[in-house]
Amino acid sequence: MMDLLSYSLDDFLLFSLPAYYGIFEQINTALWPGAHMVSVLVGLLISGALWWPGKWSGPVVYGLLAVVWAWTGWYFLGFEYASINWAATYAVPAFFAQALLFAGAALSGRGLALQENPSHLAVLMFVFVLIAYPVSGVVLGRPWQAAEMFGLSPDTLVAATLAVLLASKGWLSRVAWVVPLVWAALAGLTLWMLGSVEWILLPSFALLCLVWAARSSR
Amino acid sequence: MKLDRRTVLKTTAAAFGAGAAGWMPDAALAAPLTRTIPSTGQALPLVGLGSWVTFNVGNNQKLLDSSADVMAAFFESGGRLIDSSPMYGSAQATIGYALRKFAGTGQVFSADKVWTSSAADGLQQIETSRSFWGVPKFDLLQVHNLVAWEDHLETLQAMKAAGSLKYIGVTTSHGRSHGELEKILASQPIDFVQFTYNIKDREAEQRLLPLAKERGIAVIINRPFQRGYLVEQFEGKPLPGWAAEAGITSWAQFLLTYVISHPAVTCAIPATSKVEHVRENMAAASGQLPDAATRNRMADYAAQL
Repeated sequence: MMDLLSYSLDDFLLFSLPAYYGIFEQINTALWPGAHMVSVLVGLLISGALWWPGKWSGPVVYGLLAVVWAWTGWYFLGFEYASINWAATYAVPAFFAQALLFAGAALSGRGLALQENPSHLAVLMFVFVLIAYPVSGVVLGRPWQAAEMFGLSPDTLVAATLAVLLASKGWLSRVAWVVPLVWAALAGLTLWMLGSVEWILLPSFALLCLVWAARSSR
Repeated sequence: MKLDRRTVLKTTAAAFGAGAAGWMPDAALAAPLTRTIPSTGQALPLVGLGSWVTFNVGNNQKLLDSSADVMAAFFESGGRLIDSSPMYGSAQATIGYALRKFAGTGQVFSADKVWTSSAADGLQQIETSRSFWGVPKFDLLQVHNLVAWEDHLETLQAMKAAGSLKYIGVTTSHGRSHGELEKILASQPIDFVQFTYNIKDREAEQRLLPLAKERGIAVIINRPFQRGYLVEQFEGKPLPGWAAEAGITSWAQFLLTYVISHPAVTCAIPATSKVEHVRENMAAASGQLPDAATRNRMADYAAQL
């Protein structure tokens, strides 16, 4: 027991900040420009489906989110991040579970669906995440080659998902918050241990969404 | 004058005054000082290279190449022992990349670890590690953090008897499991032991270091700088005037010299991702070593700050 108490958070950090940024540089270099174009397209489709709600909005939004969550779990966590952090593979099942949840919503619309008139503010928050998240990291000091794009980074995906959940309804929408919130906390903690000022971004955004959701549900 | 690593690099190794009070006669500055591995008499440079965090760079080519540059500078400075583990992410693969790039396989003293709670998986893990390194066999294999040490020591002893391994050992860090380590040192036929020791974490001076010396077990020291924390803590504070007598002009040098000057220490393994730091660390192994009285003085001075 004394041995367990002797561990500090630092002991669980296997990599340095340059190595962490290096993951995103690697992804951006390897997948440019195809993946980035797909990322922009997916973002536009989701944004459009949210802004102009129709009967196909739910399947489009949740279907695309399902694909991106599965892709991120498989590629980012299972390959890229796992190359410097063997613990990343433990999060893969959670990302796949989230993907299944969204896939179910896309196919059935039961338990999790878009609000009849999604708040435009929620949609703007989604768009904001797509544009601001990659830029904010660079502004705060990371190399621009390591910018985090939607669809190529779990942090951006989580922030974008939280914005979508603000425009969602149904009992499963509460379940859909769990994985993003846990990831937001872990990501913030990781960046804080790495000494990056970016640690504040995702947890703050998650907290903002949580407060908004709580007020809206009253 | 602010004494930091950059200053050391600019000043280079200073001349040592012969007979300077409290310091032992110096060795050649170009080649690092060595100590012998008690079980065989093989000489090993006093400073090696760790790979925790610093070499865990994944597939990033730029970082792989900068890690390779660190290793090249390490070998150019006369370094030999490099320590790693399957726990250290992609560090083993990074080492293998650098060894292939600079054809350093012949010079390296390869020290790795077995780290699995399953005895049955030990051999497979060792083989996977060896393939990452690209060496024909390891010089030293250690049971990492004493995980399943009884089973793994059996495996390592069998490998040694078969000639596929030269040395075996065990490791801990952060001052953990010293009681169990002491029992292992007293009872097991091992060649090496690795644990944490530095100017702040001095518990090992009480029992482990004297016991290792008594039992003829070589000692590898990890965390000589507490992962850089000690250097950050002391930098900017004045070095004692008497440290300059032996050409110590930086806190990194002061801290590392303290560790490697203990007579029971065979090799310290600071990790770094910077070429200038690895050169500075190797320079500490080329300078004069303080005697016991001066070591106490160094510890007391550091404790006061």
